[in-house]
Amino acid sequence: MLANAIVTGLIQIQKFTLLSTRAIANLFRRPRYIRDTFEQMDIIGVGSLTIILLTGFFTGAVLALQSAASLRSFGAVGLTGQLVAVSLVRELGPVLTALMLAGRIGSGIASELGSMVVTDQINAMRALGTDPTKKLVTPRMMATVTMCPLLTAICDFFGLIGGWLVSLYELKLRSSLYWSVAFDSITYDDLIGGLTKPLVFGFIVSMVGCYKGLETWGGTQGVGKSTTQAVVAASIMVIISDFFLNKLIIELTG
Amino acid sequence: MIHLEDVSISFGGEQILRDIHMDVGPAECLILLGSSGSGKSTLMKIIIGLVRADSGRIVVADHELSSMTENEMMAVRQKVGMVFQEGALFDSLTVRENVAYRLYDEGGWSEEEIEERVLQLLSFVELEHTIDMMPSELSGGMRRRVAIARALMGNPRILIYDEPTSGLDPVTARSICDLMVKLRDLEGVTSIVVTSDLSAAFFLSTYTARLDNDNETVLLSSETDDVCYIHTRFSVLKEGGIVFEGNLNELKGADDPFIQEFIT
Repeated sequence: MLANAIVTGLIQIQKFTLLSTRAIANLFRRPRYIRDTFEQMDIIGVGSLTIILLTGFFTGAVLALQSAASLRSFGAVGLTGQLVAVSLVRELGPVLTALMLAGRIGSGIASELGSMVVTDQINAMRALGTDPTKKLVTPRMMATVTMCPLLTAICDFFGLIGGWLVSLYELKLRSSLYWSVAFDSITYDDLIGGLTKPLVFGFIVSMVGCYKGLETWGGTQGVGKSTTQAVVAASIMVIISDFFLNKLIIELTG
Repeated sequence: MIHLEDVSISFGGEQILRDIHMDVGPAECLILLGSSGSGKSTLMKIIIGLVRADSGRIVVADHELSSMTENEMMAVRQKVGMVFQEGALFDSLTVRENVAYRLYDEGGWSEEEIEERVLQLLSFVELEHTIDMMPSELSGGMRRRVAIARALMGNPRILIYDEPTSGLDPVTARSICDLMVKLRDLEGVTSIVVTSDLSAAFFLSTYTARLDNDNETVLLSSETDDVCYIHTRFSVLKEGGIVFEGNLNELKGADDPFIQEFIT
């Protein structure tokens, strides 16, 4: 029983690695589906703007509220901007954006590709002489990898605005104090780290979605199962990889 | 055109096909009969390279598939058309984009050339008016006909049909059969038809398409008209092996109780 589970797990890791390697190798092989990539960028990037904007805004606002309560006991409410900015840029912006994308994009990719598998559309595509990893996987991977850092930056920015509005109206802080403390606290390393992690997260979300979608079997019920698994697996992988990426960034930046 | 030798495949320890031998000549139609789970669809997928056989030799249009990589096989697949069960049209594309899929994928075609070619194929399947429709707006029979038009793009010399008439009413099924007969007899397309629809199978082996004096297509039946040989053979699959090969009369006269039960 345990041995079977281990073998199944290892086979899944092998298949996932192979698919990921092919998706990356396709970047250097013709044909390149540039139009499909831009279409996906639109769906993933522009299409996710609203949820990312709302997530960022309210996370920043909550951070300001919560941190002010703790900072007040030290008489340091003025540092609210610093806490909001550092938490968002280093950690919450990248992770929350990736989790929101796992919910919206990972599930979307898995259900779309899964439906194509169960209705033979993937086989039809192969029969027409098209490699589905080139036509479907690589464009989605490229689009998510490029859009995730941009969406993270937007999430960070709207988070700062959320924090600023709470600081201004709830905490009665001066705008200039909030913004100057916020900007001064963000280092170059924070920005690099905060915008590098989304590249990896974007890769994880898209590849897990594609993998789960292409591995679908068992009709429409199978599509539902793949979709759920894609969201769960991508979310967990994002959180686990976040720890190791942070460790790596700390090692590299000293 | 198609040659299979000792082809075997198993999934998860279960033998799906064993030692399959098959030869299909140019402009010939092979009808593959068999109960569900007998390995018919797997055999089709092996012929087009969608599934790799565990052993055996597969030659399609002078290409030895057994020794090819996935990338090399892509080029061969462009010479073979496949009509999937239910059509398998791309949901997110219009009928025009579905039919012209190969042209868009190759690139280098102008919109006018694409339009002309798509209309030509859609008129063959009598569905010109659907060009701007989405697959979800089409009926089951229309989807199969669009799938045939899509498979014909690029003039493949081999067409593989997977259950082309299953789930269709008799009139629509007949229109699909008419198309298949026309492609076989007038265009010289080699075809393999996987079906469990016996009336469609018998239609394909008793009807032939000819051009009359006015260049109009007419369908003639071997039962009522003066038609000599119709280029259609039958193979029957049972539990992964071929248990019968021959023409319609031989099929009807076969002693095997399985075949008798199957065709009655």
